[in-house]
Amino acid sequence: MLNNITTAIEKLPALPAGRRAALDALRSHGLPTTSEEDWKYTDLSKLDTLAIEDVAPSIENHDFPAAYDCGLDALNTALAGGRQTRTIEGRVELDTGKHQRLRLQVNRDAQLILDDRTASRFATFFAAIDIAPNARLRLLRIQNAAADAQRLTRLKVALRRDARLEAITVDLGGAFLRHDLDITFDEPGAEAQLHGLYLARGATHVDNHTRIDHRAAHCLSRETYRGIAVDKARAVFNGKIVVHPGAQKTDSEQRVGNLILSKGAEVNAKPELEIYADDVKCAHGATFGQLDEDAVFYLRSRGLDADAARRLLISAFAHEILDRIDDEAIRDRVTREFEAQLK
Amino acid sequence: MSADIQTLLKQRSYTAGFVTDLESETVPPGLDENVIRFISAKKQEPEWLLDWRLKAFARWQKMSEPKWAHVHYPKIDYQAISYYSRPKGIGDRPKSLADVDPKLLETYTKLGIPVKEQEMLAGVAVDMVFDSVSVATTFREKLKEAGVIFCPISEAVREYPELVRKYLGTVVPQGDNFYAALNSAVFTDGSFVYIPKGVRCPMELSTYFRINERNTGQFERTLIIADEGASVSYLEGCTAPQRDENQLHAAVVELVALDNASIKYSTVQNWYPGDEEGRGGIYNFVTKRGDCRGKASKISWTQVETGSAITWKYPSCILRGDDSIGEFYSVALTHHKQQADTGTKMIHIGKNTRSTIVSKGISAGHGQQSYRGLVRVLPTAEGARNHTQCDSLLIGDQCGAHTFPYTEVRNPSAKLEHEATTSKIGEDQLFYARSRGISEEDAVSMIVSGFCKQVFKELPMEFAVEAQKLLAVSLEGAVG
Amino acid sequence: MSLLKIENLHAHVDGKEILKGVDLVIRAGEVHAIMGPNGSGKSTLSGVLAGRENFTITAGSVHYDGKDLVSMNAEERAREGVFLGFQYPVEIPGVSNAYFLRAAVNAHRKHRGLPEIDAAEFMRGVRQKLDQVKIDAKMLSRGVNEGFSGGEKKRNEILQMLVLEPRLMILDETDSGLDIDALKLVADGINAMRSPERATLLVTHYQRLLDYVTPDRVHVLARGRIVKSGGPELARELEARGYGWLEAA
Repeated sequence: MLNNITTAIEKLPALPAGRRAALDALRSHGLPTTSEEDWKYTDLSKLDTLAIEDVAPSIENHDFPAAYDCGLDALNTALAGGRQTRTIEGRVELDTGKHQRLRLQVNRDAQLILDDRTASRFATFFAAIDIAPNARLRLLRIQNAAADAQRLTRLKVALRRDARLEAITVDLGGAFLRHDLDITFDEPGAEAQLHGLYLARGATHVDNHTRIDHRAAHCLSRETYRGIAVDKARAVFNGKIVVHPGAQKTDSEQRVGNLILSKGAEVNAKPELEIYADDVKCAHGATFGQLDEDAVFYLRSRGLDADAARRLLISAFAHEILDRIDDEAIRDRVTREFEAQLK
Repeated sequence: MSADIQTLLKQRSYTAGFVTDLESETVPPGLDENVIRFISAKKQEPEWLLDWRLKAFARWQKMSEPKWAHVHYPKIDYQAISYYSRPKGIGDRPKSLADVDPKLLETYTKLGIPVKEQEMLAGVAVDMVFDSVSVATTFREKLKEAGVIFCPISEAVREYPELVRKYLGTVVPQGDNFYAALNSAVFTDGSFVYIPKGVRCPMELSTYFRINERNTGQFERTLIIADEGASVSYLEGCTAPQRDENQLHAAVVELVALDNASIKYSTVQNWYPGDEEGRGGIYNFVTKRGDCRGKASKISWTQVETGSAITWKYPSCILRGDDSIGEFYSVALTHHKQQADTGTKMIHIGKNTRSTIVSKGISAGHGQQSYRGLVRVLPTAEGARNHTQCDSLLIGDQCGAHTFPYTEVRNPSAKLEHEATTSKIGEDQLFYARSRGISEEDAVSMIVSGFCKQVFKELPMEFAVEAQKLLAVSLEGAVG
Repeated sequence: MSLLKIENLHAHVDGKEILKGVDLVIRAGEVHAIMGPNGSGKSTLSGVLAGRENFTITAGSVHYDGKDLVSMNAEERAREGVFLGFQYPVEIPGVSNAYFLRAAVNAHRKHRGLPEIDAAEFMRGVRQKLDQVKIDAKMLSRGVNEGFSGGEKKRNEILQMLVLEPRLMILDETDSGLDIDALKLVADGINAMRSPERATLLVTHYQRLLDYVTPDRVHVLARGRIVKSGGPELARELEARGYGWLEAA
């Protein structure tokens, strides 16, 4: 496994010691297998289908750490050429179609748009984001990659005192995708709202894993994800919420709704709760179903044909998430892309 | 967190802690083919069953213990356990209560199980298991009239071999998991129930059993078959004496419901949970599975668990027959240093199958409780329906309650709903009740009962009362 | 004969002294009102009288009907006939209002050596009181205060008061957040409980309630002490002039 990836990196013109060390760490740690709980439904051996020319590691080199906790971090570091640090202010757009490893600081209100713009076959985009006290980050991740694209993204967001995060993620394309969104509340008073939409079609495998760690008291988290699975696609959702000892007055709610519209499509969804504090309010819910046939009939009785009726209802289901996108231009674009995917 | 709630739970009395000092014929610890042959010979089993056991043993030796549960315990030395123990003075076939050792009967009286046919267990047949040998079976004649077979499995193997052979291991195959394989090799007793076509079993069937000897694991095997149109309600309740070493309990329960048949299996479990430091409780690793083989068949699991040091059990339903129904209602209490990783699996295979899961977990002290559920809808399962409700009640800030509900859906006509909430017994709620004159103890009891209501009402009447008391004792005995 | 006698009461919360020497005497048959600006110690006073554990009494005494109230815990006070109407009544899902109230009634009865009453008998006795506060029987089968609006919660407090028939009623901001109709129902309930054997202490921020429940005495609590006492007209004066003029005193 990983031969083509390591070969592609070794062929780079400049290979500093730090990058070599990342490769070594990758070889010794290896990548998670399906026997690990978090990777139960997503098999990383899929990465072996990449050819050497698909890997496209970054040519530049940045900062390299002394050690690695896990194989995935080593993988991303080796591919991205190390980590870059920057402060995010105002509105910033970044390309998730390229290998990148970032450490981002948000000190004042900011908007970060992660868009998949490079038609690469393979990209790993990992970012650790720190939101300063009282600052607010609006994060938008849009993915509508090519039908053969493989993507691994990992966003780790730490919220300081009274910080605010609003994150919206949309997955429309790609072949094999795994997105991790980890939120940590280290100081009290912070709030995170996570909204996600994933459309799995064709033979796509899309896996969204979120994790919210309430380590401090008086923090609030709200999570709403909606998924649609058609054709022979597979959608995986795992939303883990951990309320650590001492995180009293935590207020957490998580809902995931899934539409399974074809035979052969599969959805695996698991909302997880680990609670170690007692004075908390935690609720989660998950639903799986199909379109309401009565609603379909109603639309048809008003003149729409069956297909148009279904598409309308599926749209309505998705709009719960899409409508939260503030930026009008992006919202329109994403909506059009979503509708296009439905046809 | 106030001193009030802490003192509320500081002590929990375990009333069933005592030992009957009978001479037991115990096999020295260790597990190999010879021990299995010994067990099989003692029970006068036919050749086919010995072969079956040996096959299971061979498989077990190649397997390893599951590691993924959210529980932590010291490694079990399977060679340090004795796999057979029988109280002396009892022939292998007691004919009536008069043949039973009076000391044994005394034990049962202490446990509050009235042995005499005319007394309190009115209408409930009791298949008593003391350690590894069934002691007496009451009400056999009444059941015989109805055509119901209810006897120890070792007897069923001899009297009804065709029936046993037809169904044994068909719901929980030997290789299913580590503990099932172990059980298949060394099971020493359990209940066998067969309800013939169209018969509604006239009374609730129940089994009490205890682990008595030091280091003897209990390996019950229960097989219940409800033929077409039949129905039965089965109660399982157990207590165990105080012990210092952990005792292993690895049972297997197989239920088979044919067309239009229904089986209700209720458990009120009160194994010794270990002391405040978590020393010496029972390890409860059980595989329970129901196969809804027939059309419109129904299997319900109802359980109230307040004991055990470690619990690992997932009563499951395989919804094979079209229109079949699976239900799981559970109240689990973990306290002190108890750990529980439990839940259920509902596998939807047939058309228009329905499953309902209601899991109520109460965590106190340093208890850690995980609900692990699986709802799997296969591509063949047209119109599958599931509703899951998973609630946790936390008492104190040192305990944990976790939920891991797996859902795997592969059919577009399925409709599933899952809801989970977490709450606590608040200081404010207790104060409110006290400000109206209600004692703290009664207030806690009230709130916990309200929390468990949905599950308790699924229990057969006699069990519901015992369950309420059990829960109340668990939380009440500690009010200073 | 005083039903409630508070003498030089000093109380701490979280290490901070909130009550700095409160003196108050309420005789049977009387209705007293305590008003005061935010932070004056009104909630602390109610909490101390109810027996909440997070308050520490550092000096002074409280006697109820000649008995030392401080040495009694919350449920003992309740069984002796003290009723606290909460400012923020808590919800207890899973436990029905009917079950809860009947348990309270039976706890009181047991204390007095009376036999317990069953569900049917309880419902019979409670019916007329339900009408008084305009709570319908269906609400009784819901969880305690579960999903109740603010007004419904306060009316539920009054219902409990009517059913438990206490001798000393301490109503902590029972009028806050109520519309005029709910306010009238609450006032009617309080007035219905007036008798020569009972006493009521209304802790209120607004004068409005006192238009409907005429107090015998009005006291102003400021900075942990009672700084002024008077007849019902004092309430109207406070309404007109605010609390500022007292702070200067």
